[in-house]
Amino acid sequence: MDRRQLLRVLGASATLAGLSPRQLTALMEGGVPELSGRAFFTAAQREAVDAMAEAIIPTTDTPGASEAGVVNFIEVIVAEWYEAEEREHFMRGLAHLDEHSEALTGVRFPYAGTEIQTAILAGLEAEGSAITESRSDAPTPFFHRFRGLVLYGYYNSEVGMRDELMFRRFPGRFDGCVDVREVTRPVPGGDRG
Amino acid sequence: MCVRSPAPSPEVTVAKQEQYDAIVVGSGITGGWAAKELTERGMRTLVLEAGRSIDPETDYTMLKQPYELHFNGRRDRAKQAIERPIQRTCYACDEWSEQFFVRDDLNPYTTGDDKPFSWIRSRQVGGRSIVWGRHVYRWSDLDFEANARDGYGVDWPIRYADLAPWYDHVESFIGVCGRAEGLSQLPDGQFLPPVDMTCAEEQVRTSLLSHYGGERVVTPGRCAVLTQDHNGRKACHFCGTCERGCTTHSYFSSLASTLPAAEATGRMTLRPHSVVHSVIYDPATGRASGVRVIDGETHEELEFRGRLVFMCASALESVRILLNSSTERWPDGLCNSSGQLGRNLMDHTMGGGANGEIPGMMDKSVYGRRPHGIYLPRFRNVTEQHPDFLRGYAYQGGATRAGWGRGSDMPGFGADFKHALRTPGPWRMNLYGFGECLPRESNYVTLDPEKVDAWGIPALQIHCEWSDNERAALKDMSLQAAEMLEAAGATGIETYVEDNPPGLTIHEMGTARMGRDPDTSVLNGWNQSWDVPNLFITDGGCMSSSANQNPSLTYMALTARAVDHAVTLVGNGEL
Repeated sequence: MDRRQLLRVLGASATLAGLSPRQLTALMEGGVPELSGRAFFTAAQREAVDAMAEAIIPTTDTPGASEAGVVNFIEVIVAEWYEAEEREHFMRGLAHLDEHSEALTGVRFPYAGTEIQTAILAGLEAEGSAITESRSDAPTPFFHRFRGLVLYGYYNSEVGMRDELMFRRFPGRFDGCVDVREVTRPVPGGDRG
Repeated sequence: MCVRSPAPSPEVTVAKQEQYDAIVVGSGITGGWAAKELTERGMRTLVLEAGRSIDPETDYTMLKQPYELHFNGRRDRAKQAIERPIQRTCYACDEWSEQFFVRDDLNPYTTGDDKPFSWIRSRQVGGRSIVWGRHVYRWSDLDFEANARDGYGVDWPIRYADLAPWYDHVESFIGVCGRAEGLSQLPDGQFLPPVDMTCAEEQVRTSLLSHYGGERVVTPGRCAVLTQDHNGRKACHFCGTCERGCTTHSYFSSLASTLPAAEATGRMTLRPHSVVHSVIYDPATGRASGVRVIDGETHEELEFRGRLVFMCASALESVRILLNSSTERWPDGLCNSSGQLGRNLMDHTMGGGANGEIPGMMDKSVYGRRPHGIYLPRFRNVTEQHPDFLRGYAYQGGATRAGWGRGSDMPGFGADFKHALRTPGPWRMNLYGFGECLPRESNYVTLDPEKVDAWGIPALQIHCEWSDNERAALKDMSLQAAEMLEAAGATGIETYVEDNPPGLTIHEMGTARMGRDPDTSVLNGWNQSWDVPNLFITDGGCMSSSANQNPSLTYMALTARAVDHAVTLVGNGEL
């Protein structure tokens, strides 16, 4: 695949001009890129991933996806774990996120403000769910795929395990019937009986 | 039927002074027991292990958190596709623990057309006991009499009474938690206190006891996990991921328990990186004189001499070695006068079942992560014969409340979404069945005529498939699971019947069966070869039938019993 074909596949958007050399190599060769210390995402893509992750699991009374470093996990998965087709699908979805935001507001997703971000993601989720419902063989939509990565990355991060899950490495005993409040974090403002 | 491998080159090193009282091939569940029992009875014992040494401090990954791993615990798909395409189908072969499974590219085997078989293997000191499932159940006479009752296979040469004291012996040493239930089909043992069941499981237990008049019992899984300090090992800390290795040795492995006991006698020599090529037979004496080994690292050929040889390398590996040890007298594999060596391969079926929501108890949850769940012992064909299938099945499973993982199936995102995930989902009970497999000669292994492994040893060719009997029981497991969940008041019941290949349950057995008649069995009632009296096979190969219980406890008890007999014969001057 040459660059022209590649751009056609990816939807040839302006955002793609910002592809990193490593991404181009990975996308054009269709394989798993060599492990290297260099980042896979461009600075702009990194911002977008980080912002979308934080919008999905935001900072509340505990840290959100951004502080948990979920973007780093997503970068490793997209760059090294995904197969070529999954990677292309992800990168296309990511490009679309910024395009969509720019078309609506004139600025990229990370700078669109919480309200617009929420509206954009709600739209993406609804769009994705509709596709899944209409076609059982459709690939997992970008939003749902992304949210799955955020969930896995966040709840397996040091911050997520410690602060959100109250994870104890060595519980020391097993009790099959405890008050649920002993093992879960309260919801702010929620009724805890 | 089998192809003889080339004789080793003449420059074979016959190691000096390498004459032992006993040689044990394999260091896993049964090899460790053979080593312990032999050395404790005064025998100078050589334990040969094909794989490397394991140092729990550095090799176990118990302390590693997901965020300390490159893919946060997601398996490296690309790497596993090359190195472990078969091993990765085992749940435990993940980013933490894949190093405890063999590399398939170095350890090939072949299968019959359209007859997939998953051979899940470990090569390391400790063998598969480092990653095993830890469930341990006694057999009963319902099992030992099964072949005689319906005519499949050959009659077991032993009954429960022969093995009961050895079950006691093994359980007392390894530590088994469980609840005594007084069931004839699942005898109670020497139990440490059981692990708690969850509130929903207790509720289902009560419902089923009442609905089925005590015939169907939900009980805490009986597991080789310590609920209190035992024999110098620490009680479980309930971290929940045993397969990463346990640095407090709270579940039984040979590495943590039997091998140290053997070491303490001063009579064990443990040699890792020792890939056993074949057993050497001496026609002059009619005995096995030792084993031929290829050094796993240097590929040097070595020989070791022993008065007794115990095969404890697993049902398929031990038989592979014996098929590769043919002699003039036994061209189809050593000790194979019966023609049964490599035949009657069995595994348990798994994956007929159902799950459903148990309403209520929303103010309760669990603390800690237990190493296993519940067990629901066999109830089919215990007192009445089912019209569709012979033998039985049992379930493992449990009831828990889902955590953040259910987020992928929930709509939404943002603060409300995050906070909604703090409240666990409803209690959901799963019953997952494991079924007995009939012994049939048509399920067999031979040596592959062409393929060899990385050490030049012929690969195994496996021909194994389920029969209609197994499939009928699998279907019934699913229906009965749903019926029981309904009786327990569950809602939203979902049934399933998985299509798992034989081998994947990792209870492969039966390839060198015990019996009463040398014409139809490989071993006598003491796990002793009819043909070569100083050769014993005490791994899963010896099993005449499979029952439906997890088999390791029975392998261990048979091993200890066989050693006792062998040493007695040595003492009498008979061996």
